[in-house]
Amino acid sequence: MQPNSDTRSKQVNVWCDLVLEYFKANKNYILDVNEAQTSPLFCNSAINRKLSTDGIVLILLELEKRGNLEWQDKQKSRCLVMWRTPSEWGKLVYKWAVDSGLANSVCTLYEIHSGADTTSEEFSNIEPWMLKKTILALQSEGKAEYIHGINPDDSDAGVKFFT
Amino acid sequence: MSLVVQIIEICLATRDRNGGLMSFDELRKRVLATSGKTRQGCQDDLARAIKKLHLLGSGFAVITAGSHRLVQSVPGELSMDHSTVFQKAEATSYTSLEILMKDLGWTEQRARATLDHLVAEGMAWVDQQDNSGTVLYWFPGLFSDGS
Repeated sequence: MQPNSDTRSKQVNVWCDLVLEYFKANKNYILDVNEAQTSPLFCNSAINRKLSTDGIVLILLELEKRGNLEWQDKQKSRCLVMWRTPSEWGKLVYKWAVDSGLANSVCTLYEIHSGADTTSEEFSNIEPWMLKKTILALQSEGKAEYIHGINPDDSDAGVKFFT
Repeated sequence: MSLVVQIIEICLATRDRNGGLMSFDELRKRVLATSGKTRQGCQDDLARAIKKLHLLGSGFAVITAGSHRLVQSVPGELSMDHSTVFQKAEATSYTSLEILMKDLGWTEQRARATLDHLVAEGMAWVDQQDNSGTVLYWFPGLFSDGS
C-alpha cells in the first residue's frame, strides 16, 4: 500500500473498482479471504506482483463501508461482494414499480426477477437472494414492505410498494 | 475550447494518478485526441500555451531533462535533481535508490531525499515487490499507454 495518503486513496479506489468489475464479469458473489490471496484478482503472475494480505483486508473493509460487501461469518473469512448495492438495485426496482403503476399494490418477487414484464429491466434474472436484500433495503427506506411467503425457502415471497 | 483550457482540464483529470507530472508528448497526444483533428504546429502552440499559464503563476511549467520534456502542473519545488531523476526514469518509467547511486554517483542521502520528495508530491508510487529485493519507484506521469 502506498505511503503517500493521496496516492493511497487513488490506489484504494482503483482496487475497489477492479474487485467489483471482476465479480460482475465472473457473475460471482462469494469471496473467500484465504483463497483470494492467490487468486488472479489479487495476484498478477505476468508481472510478478500481488496485493499484500493487509492490502486485501483494507480494500475489503473499504468495500464494506461503501455497502458493496457483507461478511458471512464472525471471523471475516468469507464475504458477499455485491457489484451493485441493494440500495442501488432498490432505486431501479422502485422506479420500475412506480412507472408500471404498482404503487400501493402487491406483486411477487418471482414476477420481478423472472416475470415477463421485467425482461428488459436490468434486474431481470437477478439472484433471488439479491432481490430479497433489495426489497429489504427499500423497506428500510419506507418505500416497500417485504411479505414472507409460505414456502420454507420463501421463494413465493412478495412485496408491496408504497408511494 | 481554447488550448489553455484544454491543457488545464487534461492535467486536472490525470493529477491524482501522476501527481501533476506528465510527459510533453503525452499531453500533446491527449490534446489532439480531445480536439478531434490534427493541429499543425501543435508542439509550438502547446509550449506557448503552457508558458502563458506559467506566467500567470499557476504552477504550470515545462521541465527539460536532457532531450525529454515534461509538463508539471502543480506548484511545487522541483529541483535539477528531480528533473534528472525523470530523465533517468523516462525509458522504463521507474527508478530506484540503487540506480541513482550507481548511474549518477549520488550519495544515498541525496537519492533518498529526492525520491522521498517525489513520493510526497504524489508523482512516484512505491513498489516493494521486485524480485531483486530493491524498492522501485514508478512514475505514472511517464507511462505512455495513454490511459
